[in-house]
Amino acid sequence: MLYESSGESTTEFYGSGFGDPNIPYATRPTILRYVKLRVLVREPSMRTPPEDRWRVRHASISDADIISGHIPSQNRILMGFLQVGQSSLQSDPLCPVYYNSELLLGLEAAHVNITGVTGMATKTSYALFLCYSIMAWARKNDKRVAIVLFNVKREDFLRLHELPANWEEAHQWMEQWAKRAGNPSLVNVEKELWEAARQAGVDPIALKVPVQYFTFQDDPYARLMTNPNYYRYGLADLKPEEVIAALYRPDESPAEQQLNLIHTYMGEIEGASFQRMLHDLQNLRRALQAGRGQQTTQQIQWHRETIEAVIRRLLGLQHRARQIIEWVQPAGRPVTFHQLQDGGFNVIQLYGLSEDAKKLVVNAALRQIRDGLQQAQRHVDRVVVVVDELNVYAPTSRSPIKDQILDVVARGRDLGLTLIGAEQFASEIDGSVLGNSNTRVVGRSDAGEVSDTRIYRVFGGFREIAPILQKGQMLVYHPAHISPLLIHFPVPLHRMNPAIGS
Amino acid sequence: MTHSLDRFRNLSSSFSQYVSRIGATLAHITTLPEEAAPDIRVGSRTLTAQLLGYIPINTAPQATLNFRFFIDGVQQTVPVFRITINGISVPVMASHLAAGAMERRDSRLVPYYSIDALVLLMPLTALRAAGWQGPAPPGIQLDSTGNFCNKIGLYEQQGTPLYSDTGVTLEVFPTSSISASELYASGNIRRKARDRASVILRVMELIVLWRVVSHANLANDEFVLIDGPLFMPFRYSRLADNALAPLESFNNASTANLSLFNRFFRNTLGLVKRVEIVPHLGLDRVFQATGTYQVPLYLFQDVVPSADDEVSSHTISAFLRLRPEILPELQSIWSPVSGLIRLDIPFGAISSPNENWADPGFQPNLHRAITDPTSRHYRVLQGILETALRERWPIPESESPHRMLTEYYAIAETEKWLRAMLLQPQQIRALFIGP
Repeated sequence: MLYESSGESTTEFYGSGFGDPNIPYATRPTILRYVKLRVLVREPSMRTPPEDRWRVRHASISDADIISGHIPSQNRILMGFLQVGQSSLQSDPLCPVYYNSELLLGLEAAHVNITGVTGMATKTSYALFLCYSIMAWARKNDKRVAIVLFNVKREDFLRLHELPANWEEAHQWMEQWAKRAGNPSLVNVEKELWEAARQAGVDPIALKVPVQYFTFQDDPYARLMTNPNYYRYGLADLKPEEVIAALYRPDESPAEQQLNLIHTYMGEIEGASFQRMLHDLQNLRRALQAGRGQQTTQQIQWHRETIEAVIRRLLGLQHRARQIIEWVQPAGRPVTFHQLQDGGFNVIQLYGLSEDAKKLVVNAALRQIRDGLQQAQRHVDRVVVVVDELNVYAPTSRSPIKDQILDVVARGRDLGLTLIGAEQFASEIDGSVLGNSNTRVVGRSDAGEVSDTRIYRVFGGFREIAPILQKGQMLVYHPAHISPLLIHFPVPLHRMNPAIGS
Repeated sequence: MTHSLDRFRNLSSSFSQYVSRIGATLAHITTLPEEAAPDIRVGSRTLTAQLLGYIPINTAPQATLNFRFFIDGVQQTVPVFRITINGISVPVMASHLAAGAMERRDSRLVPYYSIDALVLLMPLTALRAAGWQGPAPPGIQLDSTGNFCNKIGLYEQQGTPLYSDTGVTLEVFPTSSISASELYASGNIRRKARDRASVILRVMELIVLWRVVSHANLANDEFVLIDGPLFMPFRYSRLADNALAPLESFNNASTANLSLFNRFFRNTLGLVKRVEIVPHLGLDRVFQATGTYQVPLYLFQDVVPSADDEVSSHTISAFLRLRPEILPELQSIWSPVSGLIRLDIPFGAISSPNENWADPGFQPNLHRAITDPTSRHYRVLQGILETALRERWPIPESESPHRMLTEYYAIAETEKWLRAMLLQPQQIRALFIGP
């Protein structure tokens, strides 16, 4: 619902006692409330527009089956809750609403995009809630799903293994968390939301989703993980596209000759290490300096400037991505598809890495998943990948660094890979990535972004409330429903861990 | 009042059959300029009147009385078909009218009572005089025999069609008002139809007032405010119901009728926001608003019929400006008396119960009352005027500068409420097209 206040004439000012709002009125001005309604579902199903004197009532908890009645029960993945009842000020019933798994994970699925301003939109919290919902659905329906979460900010997806032992302890966590937040009234809100989630089958404590961590050497946050796997990438573990994505900035347009040199070298020299690649290129450069003009690899002539440019990039990468680069040996310990845990969360730590290193890891991991899902013999049928700061990997600018993620996005639904991407500004994301996201989620958003960006158009009149959404509220557009929905979801339990405060 | 689908279905069936039967031509969808934007007349006539004196009131007064009910009426009158006779095309109009009262309860306006009527306005007598042999329109005629209250009740309850012959007057002994030779003057035919609609609307306002004073249990300090000159609806009281016939003239007020007059005039005030008639002298103090107003009170001796601001006997006319503060902000206002309103206060409203104010020999000593602040007349007058001034906030939402200066918010809301009930011109015409 949308409430608007409008004053179309100067009488708004004069009406207050010639500008004095303290003058008492004999008659309190009439307030007309215009309410814009979106048809969410009809029962019985009819195609005629609302007219005449159709009765209007508030939705109730019993309407849950009507709202999601068209989604088969085995396809229901919890989206969140509609607040139904008389007033949002009261403790109103929470009506569960669902995604259709076929449109989220199945053959008809595309991807999910979550957008909103950092800090207020609770994008990663919602992504995690959605992951638990998916896991609950997979567990109930005996589906083989792995979830990969790239951790890009501090403890977003760390401590996932540290959940309360039971719901009594969870309630204690909530009370302490609300106290730390300075708003004790949040306790009841969270208790009700989690209770509603449990009734809808999403119970993180009962699910006991196994968590597997992947991080790099010397990660100071490794203490927050259990038995982390340490990853490193040698040149032999990477494809030319991944090396290129790591070497160049998103807004950069690398010279064609440099890209060709990298492709040619990696194609020609199998099993080389980064160190050897650097030496080989340095040797080429020395030969040029010795006056032998242009140097060739497989009949191709290279200019000295091209070689020097790639050398500089490699040296830069060696410096900026030393935590994850296996410099001497051809192969390191990459994150592989076979390591992904079926029915579990697989957290890949990126926080603390440079932008170059993050791109390298994300692209390499996505390629591993893509290739793994194409294998006939596989232990997982569907992989859900959560990527925050998607604009780093799929920027709007024309750049070869995003080629690989675009390929994953374009082919994802055939492969069984669902990307849950999140970013602060949807306007900074490549159009094809957004276009392939048929489920769109919006948290609190920048007002200018709302009015200018195409992604918000699918929300119609709802987009006007995007700048005033509260934490824990999301606007969701999902093709299973004919209208966007304003949903509520709870704070992730691991976020309320008292250890975070200490 | 609800727009019952069945009622309009009945009307549509009756009207469309009638149009088909007489072979009339349906009217084009046009809105004539004088119907879309009527002239606003302000201060165009002066008249000799007795200045009773001035009453000072504070510009930020406390309300001592309660203006509890607000009565207004609205209409939508459009040409619906034409009858051709002797080569002359005669327009026939239809008017949808609504009158109602809003009640203020705890500072909130709530609908109290309303009635509506859709009336076919046709110069039937003149057409027949010209040789037209068509039948009379279906339904009941609103004519000089009166009883409009019951006839409109039948329309509301059963959907019985209503029509009125604009070719004859509504007097006790009706006379022709349009001759056969005047049928060519289509502008005059339309004007007569609009005038007839206005008369019916006044009668409907009186019916609403009758309902209010009969059922609302008005206390002594509670008033009903009518939009327009106080006496105008009473001129047609016979047409409303025979029981109200004495109210047509204060000359009929006698001891025998006093209770009837008291019922209608003890708690009723009229508000004229388009002041056309102004007294010769004495308005100067109205335009000298400082910390206190000096409200001039006049007594017009005779009934002076006028379209918008008819004055009458037995009624004190108080002139005041509601919102002089905003006059400098409104560049389009040019008349020095713009923003002037007139409050019609009947003798009955200021008299004590044992005073026979309606007796022709009654002479309220208003001069003494004004100079004697302890008198009832003074207290009641001052209370009414201070309450009237306090009503000036809030200002109704309007694009019209004139309304911003002179209209009460409560009256404007009453008008909006009623106007929302009216059929649109296209809807009225559609009733004559048939399925």
